[in-house]
Amino acid sequence: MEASRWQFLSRSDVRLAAFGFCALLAVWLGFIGIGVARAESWIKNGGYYVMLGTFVLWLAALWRLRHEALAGWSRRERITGTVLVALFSVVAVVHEDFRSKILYDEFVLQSTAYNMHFFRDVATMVRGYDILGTFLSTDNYLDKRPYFYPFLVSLVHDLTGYRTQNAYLLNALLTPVCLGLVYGLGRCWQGWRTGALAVALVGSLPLFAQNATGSGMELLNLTMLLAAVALGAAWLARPDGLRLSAFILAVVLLAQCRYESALYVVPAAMVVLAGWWRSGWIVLSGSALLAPLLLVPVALHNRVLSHTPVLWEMKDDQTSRFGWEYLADNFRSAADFLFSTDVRLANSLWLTVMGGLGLLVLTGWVLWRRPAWRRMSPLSLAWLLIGLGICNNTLLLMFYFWSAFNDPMAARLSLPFYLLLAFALVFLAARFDARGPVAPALLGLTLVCWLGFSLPRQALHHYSHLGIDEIEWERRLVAARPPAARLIISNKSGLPWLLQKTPSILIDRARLVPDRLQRQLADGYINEILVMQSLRPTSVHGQHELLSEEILPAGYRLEFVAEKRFGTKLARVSRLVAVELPPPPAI
Amino acid sequence: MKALAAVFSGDRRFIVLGLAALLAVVLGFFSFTNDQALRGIIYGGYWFLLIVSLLFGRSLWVLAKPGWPDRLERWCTKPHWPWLLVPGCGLVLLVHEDFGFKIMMDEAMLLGTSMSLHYEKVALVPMRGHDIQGAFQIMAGELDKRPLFFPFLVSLLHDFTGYRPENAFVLNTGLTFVLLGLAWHVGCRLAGRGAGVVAVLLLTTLPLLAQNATGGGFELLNLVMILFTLALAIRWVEKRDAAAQEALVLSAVLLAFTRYESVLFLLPVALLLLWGWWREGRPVLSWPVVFSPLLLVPFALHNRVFSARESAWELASRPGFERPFSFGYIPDNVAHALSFFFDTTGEQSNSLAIAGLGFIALPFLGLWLVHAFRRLPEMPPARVAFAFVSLGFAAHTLLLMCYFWGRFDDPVMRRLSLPLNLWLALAIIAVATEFRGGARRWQVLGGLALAGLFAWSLPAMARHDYSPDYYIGREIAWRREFMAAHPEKDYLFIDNSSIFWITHRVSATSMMQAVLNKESLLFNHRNHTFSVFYVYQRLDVNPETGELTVQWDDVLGPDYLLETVWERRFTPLTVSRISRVVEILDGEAQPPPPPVRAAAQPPAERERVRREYLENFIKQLP
Repeated sequence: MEASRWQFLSRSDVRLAAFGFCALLAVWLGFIGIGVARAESWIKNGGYYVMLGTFVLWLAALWRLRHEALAGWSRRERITGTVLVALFSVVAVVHEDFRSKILYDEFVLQSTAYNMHFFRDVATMVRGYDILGTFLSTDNYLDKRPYFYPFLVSLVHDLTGYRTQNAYLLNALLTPVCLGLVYGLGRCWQGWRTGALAVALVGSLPLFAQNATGSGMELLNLTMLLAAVALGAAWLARPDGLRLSAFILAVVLLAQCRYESALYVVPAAMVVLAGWWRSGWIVLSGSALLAPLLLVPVALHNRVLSHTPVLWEMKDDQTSRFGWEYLADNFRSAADFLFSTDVRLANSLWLTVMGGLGLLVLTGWVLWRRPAWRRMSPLSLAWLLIGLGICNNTLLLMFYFWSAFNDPMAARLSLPFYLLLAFALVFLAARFDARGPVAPALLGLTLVCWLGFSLPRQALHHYSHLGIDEIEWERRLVAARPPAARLIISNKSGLPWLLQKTPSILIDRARLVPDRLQRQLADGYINEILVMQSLRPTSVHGQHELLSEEILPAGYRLEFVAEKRFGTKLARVSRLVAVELPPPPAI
Repeated sequence: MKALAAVFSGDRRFIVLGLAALLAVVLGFFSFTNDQALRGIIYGGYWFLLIVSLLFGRSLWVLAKPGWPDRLERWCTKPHWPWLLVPGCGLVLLVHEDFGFKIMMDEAMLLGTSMSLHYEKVALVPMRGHDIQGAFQIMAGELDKRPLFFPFLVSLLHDFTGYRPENAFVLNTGLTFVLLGLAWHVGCRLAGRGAGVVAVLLLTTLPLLAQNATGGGFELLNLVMILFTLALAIRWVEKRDAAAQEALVLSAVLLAFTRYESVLFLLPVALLLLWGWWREGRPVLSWPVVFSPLLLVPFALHNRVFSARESAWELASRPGFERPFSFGYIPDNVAHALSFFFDTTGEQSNSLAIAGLGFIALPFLGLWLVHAFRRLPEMPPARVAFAFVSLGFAAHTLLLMCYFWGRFDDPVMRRLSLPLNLWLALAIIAVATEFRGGARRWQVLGGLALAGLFAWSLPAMARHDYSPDYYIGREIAWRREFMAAHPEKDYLFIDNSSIFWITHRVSATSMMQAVLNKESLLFNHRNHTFSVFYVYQRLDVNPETGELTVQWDDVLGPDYLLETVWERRFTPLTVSRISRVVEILDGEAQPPPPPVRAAAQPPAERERVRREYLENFIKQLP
């Protein structure tokens, strides 16, 4: 009796209506109904729990699908996959040290993870102090970066204890997961041969290895993108509620991996529609019903970002984040990066050329033959739709003010496009493999190019030395000093120090608060204040001088501690031994 | 002759082989200038070795694949104790000495080449390298005379595990077990499991092997490739098919790229192939073998380094010698070889078990070889193969005896005796096989090897007097201690062994460069390009007064004001010193004072003074 009362909820029309209601409510909440200030507060205080709920629902769906993960794999496919994934995962992490690669992106993510772990706040620290033995985040803000990666890092903190290395640990663990998905998706077309080719193409990309040893969100984005393709294909192959839930929740999480990944919601919706169309009936699971509401934080977060220009990090002469004026330069930079033979960039020329050819042939084939959607294999259709999403994504980046791929800071944005290139080639290799050993030949050539051209780049990793060397040196220097209650006055960012529970302020602030610094030194709450400064050459002969914006007022008495060259500049660490306050103005 | 012509006329591939051989001679010796030849090796050496190694790996796979399940089953059903023998003996060889670079320039050069092969895929020893924008960059290099196979393998290790100088030790550690495993295999094939045990035990008694197993040199790889070639020769004699032939030829080619003189082993391999064809009544040829002469072109091109650079022979390091090879050196070298093999003081890294039994076996081996070549078709395959490969061992030994620096009792040259030691160990087994005695003879030989191991070799390995005796090796270890104590690596080292620092990613330059380019050093000093400038110098001790004098090639001149940081006395009459450059005086460069060459003293006189001082020094110890 009780069951029959609620039976109407399983009717397609009712569910569709409920979905429409949720979608309208989500649009209202995300774009109209909530002010920016309240949105910021909601995300800061509630974002963690929405993310936790989404993640738990996704894991539950995956758990129910676990038996299908390796179903139908032969012994040879399993062994080849394990060996190749292990090989490329190990080689990806052995050449570079585990450390941040993109200043200060990765520190901000880690700081958000810090606050999520300790306080469940989606916030980044600005100031923090040890107050009666507890290090408290005394001032923080909602950062612009999506927070699925910080959420996962905070989970690792929760389960293993807080340490900054957890961010690297997560990426190191994501590396085999990502490559495993690459292998699994490649295997679907022509067994171990195409699986191995896919792993070799992606694993031999120096950019991939760079991100595997960093603490950025790129690898998670790539992993979720692959998971979305795999689950989308599973949904298309067998449209039911469970697969729909797993797919939609993957897309909701993917949308929170990187800013522009929200765009994948559109191709994902097309995948859902294709599933309904191919099966001839509408399936809507509970998670699918909730999906629009689960995306509300994404919309709110984006609104906060749109209304906070200080977060955009634009140069003085730039007025908008997206614009036609950036297009030409961005295309030029992308070509420069993708086709570069310079070891200073983390590209793979082999993947660009072969994958580019593959993508061109594939595009031509799709346009010329116009394959029937209904007859396409689920995986091919999922790749086609999400591949279109990747193309849109890359195109959008071409309009962005800071997405020159040949800028080592922005090169990582090319990863999804590289993924598309790799799978375009794998798809073609699978098509032609019946006529000859195309996939093994391409695999052999890929491995040779990997050894000859990609591995030297990984080994040299010129692209991973942007400023981080200096921070790492400062950290080593401070770690080698005797233990003390210490304050760091930084010329760069306080975040690296705050993450280590060491109070830190910027030089500008130090100039404003001489009295407080003097008081701290006198009272002994802080035993040592270290000042980080840099010197630049003033002529061809060197003659380095302190940067004017980093000079402290005359009353700040500094004692030299250490100096080290980084490129052409010198980094200097000094100890603040006294602060002489200016005499009070005469009355 | 007619029969031979009939054998070869059946297969057109033989004609291609002949043409390939002719082309190889033309390309290797007549087509390129020295400069072109060396450039070819620099830029193509890596790719060549990659291709040959892949072909070799493939040929081994083809050989191993068919019988794999049966072999696995045989291994599983046999007694398992031999599985412990090889790892156990390998560990004995590895545990007594610290891992370190034992032979100064040799191992540094090999490591340097592996560094360039890893980072840039070019076969160069880095001569200049600096941290420019955070990344250490090799800025100049030179092709080394040493064959490339060992550096290539080390570079592969760098590729797959990340660059670290210690990868040379990792490779040699792995090779130690491979070597003993191959010795076990070859011994078993020659005369059964008892012989396999004896082969492993005999090699374990050799402290020289232990020394090289814990070093960064290419000696172990050389032995491994010799045994690989022998094992594959056995397989070829057993079943003369294309797969076995291909593996054998590629193994011999790689062996030729392992050590200079190992190219000699191509001769017995070629003879064995011809013998096999004769036995088959037709040339057995696969396409890789048809083109194999071309695989030796890089060897010929690389050897041009000796004609391009007179210094490559290092004749200057031993005054009085004008030719690298001469029959006239044989008597002296034989005397030194005997002094090495039968040393009882422990100062040499010899094995009395191998020497004692081996030199007894050697004349019998000669007789056996004469006898064996007369009735090859009736002999078991393993012995046929060993008979042929023995020609290679003999030629190798003869060549070393004709070498101007072929003194086995010289600390730097002892390692050249390793192939001879291996031959002696195998000769003991081959000769014992001809004697009656069943399993008892292997028990006796095994007992003697164990007695030699416990009574002589293990104490010698534990003391390893022979390693510190070469004090330059200890200096290398000291340099590594310095690096460990200064992990920032943001300093510049002025040292005549600058390559060693560069291979450890420390900026370095030579004394001569520091003297000649004072201005650039001054610029870098003034601009704090490096946190500190260090100088490595050796000083001679005056045995009468104790006064220290900087060796002539380590003098920096009066423009560099130095402050001693570390100092250690490695020998009674030399002090090694690391100093910090406090100041570089501006103005016109003042040349160092005219050198006073200690080398002007005859070596024998220097050695006499050193020994006298050492004796006195020991008496004066508190």
